[in-house]
Amino acid sequence: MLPIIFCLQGVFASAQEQPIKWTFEARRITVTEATVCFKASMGRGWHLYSLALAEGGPVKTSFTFGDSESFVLKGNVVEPKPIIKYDKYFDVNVGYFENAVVFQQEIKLNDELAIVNGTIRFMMCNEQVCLPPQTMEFSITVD
Amino acid sequence: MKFIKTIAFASGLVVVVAVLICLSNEEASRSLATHTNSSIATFFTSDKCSSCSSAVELVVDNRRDDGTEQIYILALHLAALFGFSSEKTSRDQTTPVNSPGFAVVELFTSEGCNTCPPADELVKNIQQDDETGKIYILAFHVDYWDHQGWKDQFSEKEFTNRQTQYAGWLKLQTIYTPQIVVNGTTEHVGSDKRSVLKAISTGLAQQATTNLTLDARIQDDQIHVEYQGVNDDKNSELVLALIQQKSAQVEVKAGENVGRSLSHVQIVRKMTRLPLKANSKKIIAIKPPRDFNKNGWEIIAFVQNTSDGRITSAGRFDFE
Repeated sequence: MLPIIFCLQGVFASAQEQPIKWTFEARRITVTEATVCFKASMGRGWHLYSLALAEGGPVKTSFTFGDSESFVLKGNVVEPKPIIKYDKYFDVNVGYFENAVVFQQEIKLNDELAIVNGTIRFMMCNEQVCLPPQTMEFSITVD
Repeated sequence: MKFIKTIAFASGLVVVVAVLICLSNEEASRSLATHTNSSIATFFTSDKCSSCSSAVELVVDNRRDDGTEQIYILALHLAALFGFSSEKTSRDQTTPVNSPGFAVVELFTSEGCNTCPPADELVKNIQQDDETGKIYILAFHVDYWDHQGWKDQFSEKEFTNRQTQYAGWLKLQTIYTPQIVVNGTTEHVGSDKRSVLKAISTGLAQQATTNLTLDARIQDDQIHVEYQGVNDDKNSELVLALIQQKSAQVEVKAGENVGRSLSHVQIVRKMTRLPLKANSKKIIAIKPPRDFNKNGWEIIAFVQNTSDGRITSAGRFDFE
């Protein structure tokens, strides 16, 4: 499977921008607590799907975190309220985001320095095409 | 198909105008007039067009010197090459028109892809409207949309690999669905009717370099395929696909009265690739899937350059 290199200029005439660009950030809240932020900036017309989707539809966005002694996860990844639209092909309601969305994960720190590793699995569609599901790795330093 | 006809007719008219501009001097007109008359009726029932390639064959009716009559004859001749039919012609409408070229149309699609139905519909219409017999449609069902709750029964990893190979040949940075590749040279969003039809027209208008023919017979539980008309070429291979021409499937979802019918055309059920080596026997045995049936299946084969994916000739064998 080809990895997606996020520069699709010229591939699609209608989508002049990249489908997606991910940026990561860690914000320390207290000495022992931090929030890790995953921001997706989407090109015009592109959709990214919600963390919670009914079965039988598109592939939902999901996060997997590697084990570490320097932190523990507090709760699950949270997302803002998605746009909900009925998909007549799949016959289900589909939740998705456009333009930009930030996913957040609270962590409890056991060390002064923590490195949060993991992967994000996601897929993208616009009105005409869908890109295959992708798995992307991340490594975020919390200090 | 109407789009192809419109484009072809318009192109025909452009060529006609260009030719007539070149022949505008009197001397040229006189030389035309010395051609033996080929009556209009004979002209339109003749199959001589297949050897014309891109040359314009001028037919002069020596009963009339009317320039407008010439335009009409020339335009219909060229249009006839592309399957355009007119009420003035006495030609049999069901006879396949002789296109000098061909168009191999590869669609990458999946039942698990909600942007795919328009592309599935497009190839279905192209297939139905084709009068040339030179449009070869292959629908490859990719496997990357198979996941919990949805498995496309026609999907194969091999077909996803083929799409990935095209991404390499055509220098794309991602694969996507629905995608159509024409003659191994251009790729299109699968639902982009205009772009796809234009590529098909281009393929049909270009002269094929070889004439690939296939013959197949069923023996025991195997299909023996013999092919001819292909040159030995270490840079190309023969791609052979066993195609199920139609399928219907009813998908019933939860809820008593909820149902959806998905039907597909030209589904690739098996693909084989053969090197084109000197002195190799041009015959191959294929084991068909269990549900193979002589009715409604065909074999499509084509020669493809292995370094850039260009398709240089194509042929088919219909079991019916």
